[in-house]
Amino acid sequence: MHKQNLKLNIAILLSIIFSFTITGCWNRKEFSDISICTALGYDQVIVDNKPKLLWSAYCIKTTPAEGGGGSSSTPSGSNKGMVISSLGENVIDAAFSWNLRAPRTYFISDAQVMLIGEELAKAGISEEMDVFMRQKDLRPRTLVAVCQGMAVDALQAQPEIESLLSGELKEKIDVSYFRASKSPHTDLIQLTRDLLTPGKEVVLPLLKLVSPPESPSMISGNENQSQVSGGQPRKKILVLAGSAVFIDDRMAGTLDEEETQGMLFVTNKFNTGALPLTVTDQNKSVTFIIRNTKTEVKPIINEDSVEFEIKIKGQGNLLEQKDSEVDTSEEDFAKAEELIDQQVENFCLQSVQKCQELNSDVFGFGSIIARSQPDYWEKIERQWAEVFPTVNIRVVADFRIENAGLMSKPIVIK
Amino acid sequence: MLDNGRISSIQLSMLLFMTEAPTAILFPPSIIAEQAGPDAWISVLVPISLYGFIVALICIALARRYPKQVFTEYLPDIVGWLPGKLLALVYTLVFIHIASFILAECSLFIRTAFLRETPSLPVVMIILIAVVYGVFLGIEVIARHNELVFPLFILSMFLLIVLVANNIDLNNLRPVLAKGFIPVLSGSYQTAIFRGEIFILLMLFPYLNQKTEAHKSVMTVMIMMMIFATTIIFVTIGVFGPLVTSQLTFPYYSLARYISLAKILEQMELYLVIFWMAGIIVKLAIFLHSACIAAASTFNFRNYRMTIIPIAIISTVVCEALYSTNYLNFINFFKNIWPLYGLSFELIVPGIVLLVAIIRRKGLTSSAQTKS
Repeated sequence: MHKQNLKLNIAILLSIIFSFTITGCWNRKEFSDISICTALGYDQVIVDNKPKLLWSAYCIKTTPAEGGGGSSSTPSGSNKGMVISSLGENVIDAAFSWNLRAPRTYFISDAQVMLIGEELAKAGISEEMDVFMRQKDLRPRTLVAVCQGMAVDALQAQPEIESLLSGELKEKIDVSYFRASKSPHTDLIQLTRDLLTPGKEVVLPLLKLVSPPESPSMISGNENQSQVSGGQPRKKILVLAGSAVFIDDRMAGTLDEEETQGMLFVTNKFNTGALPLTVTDQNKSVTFIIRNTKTEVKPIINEDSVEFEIKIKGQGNLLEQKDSEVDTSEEDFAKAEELIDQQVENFCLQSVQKCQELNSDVFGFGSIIARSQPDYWEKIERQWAEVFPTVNIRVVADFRIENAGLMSKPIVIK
Repeated sequence: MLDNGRISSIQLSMLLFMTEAPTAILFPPSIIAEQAGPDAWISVLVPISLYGFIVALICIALARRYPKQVFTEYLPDIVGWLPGKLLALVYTLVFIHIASFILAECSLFIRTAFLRETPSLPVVMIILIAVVYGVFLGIEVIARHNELVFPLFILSMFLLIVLVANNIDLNNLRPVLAKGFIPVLSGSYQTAIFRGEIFILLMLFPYLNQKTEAHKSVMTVMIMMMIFATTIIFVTIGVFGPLVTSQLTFPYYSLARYISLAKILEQMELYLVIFWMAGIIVKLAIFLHSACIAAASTFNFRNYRMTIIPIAIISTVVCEALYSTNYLNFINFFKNIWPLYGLSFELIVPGIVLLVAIIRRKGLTSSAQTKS
């Protein structure tokens, strides 16, 4: 009897104590109170001669999917997100002013991509970087990219295959880095590290807004035909176009696709990619797929100059050729390997030259010196901006062709 | 004895591991990386572990002289009644102070990383409810609870190391020892004190079942801590680089956020933080228990349980007023006061007490120790 009383009393006491927890804590986030923003954009705009920050968030639309059944009038890449932007003095001000327009709190912990507008990139991103690293919401693996023009326009581009632009952008950057190796892949942690490291500069993928080259009747269904022919402007799409190169925190210039490939070769970040070569001068081309590459960069310190020796090793497969230039014979393979080596070396030299013109050490040559010869680096660290454009590099590439696809002999047209 | 619990030597090593591990992996990597750069892992491997070994050896030597009493009980015996009681009182206050520091660290972490708008007091009180209940039930219950928590904690650390391992870039760890050993040593003196928290062994030794196994369990703990702490900081610097690590407030948490395996395992930081919180609650329980036992033995109480609530309230007040809401004070305490403060009561005072005990031939001599 006494025990039962005691148990009852304890049960009542615990229920009273725990009932305080039902009310919800200070940080409760109801699902209908948040707006999930999966892509973010940062722009600099000039208002009354003062630079302000335009923060745009690509939010997932919350209206339920319309229709079902027959009237699938939405094209296959229908956009399930909308862009809401707000203006402020800096990032935090703009983010908190976002609620002057939007009824829900933004939820950026799911942000996959961050776009930085060209103007802001040229003006400097160090203040924004401080906010990114300090606040708890952004994930360290968020991808960062620079877009030509304004980020707010880029976020309104039409996603083509996925339903959300952010997912499409992230996959675009991932896949083009891993498959085509024509653009770099930078997340927030790598961006911070490159900003902090004295001998390395930031390089970000570059996005461009273009009109899709296909005609509209292929994309949309029948119901939209009249709308499109009625003169409505077609939505633009985002395309990766090389990379943006920074000096400190300001954008200095861009590298086109071949120069970006060269840069990825030198920094040991080239994954797989296609390499078209011209074997003779007569418009005949052979294409190789490069599989694995491994690059080693060694600094050679002379008395008054610095040289770098870059050794690249890799394997490739023959995948396309025109007019039976390369047969599966030893001499032809050896000839082709030489050509691949030359082409890769050219790419590397081109990209180093371009970066030397822009005076931006995206290859991390400075940090390589800092790692292997720290005493020398202490001497030239201050003057690295002057020393870097005078650096010579020697590239030695050594590629091996592994196989030639499914055809053992080329098609010879008779 | 005030607490009649008994713990086995394995439970003791798990308890001692849990007194050091949660704090030592949460924010020290950033402080060590600031001074030592890419050599931070050498800093953890050599100087910091060495300090822990020395403290552990001194504490075992002292504790074995009085196998049935806690530190504050035999202090009056060694140094005389009045200095002993005063020193015991000081140690009580030190334990309360450390307990409030741990509370503040936990509350700051939770509030910075997760619950930003929550005020500090509810977080502290919720933690303390669990801890006070554990202390009330005794050291044996805390040790058995730790048998549950310890494998989960180890598993979460192991998972963290394994899941980010493929992001390590060995170039981040070079140049090795570029500026010699001085940065390595200067990076270690602030955080070595966390490894010296094994001095709590002085308060836990009487509960051990087989006193002769103390050496084995303590050495196991030191080696395990050495391996885990070195690996964690090695991985942190390998993934982030020394410059980014020194900028982060909680490198362990940022590393957990960086896990991404095949795009499936993402946002795992929640699990790691949950297990970390379980660990810090055990650590807090040990320190609060020691504070209560120390208070009860200093004032010659029969029952240590009557000191639990007052000590818990004092801890809350100290934590709230000094550290939990005042971030600058927390950092200031940690950077400027903690090194010498910790050094004195972890190493210097037990060392001097041991010396006095040897000179005055107090306690069991070594031949009597091996019989017990």
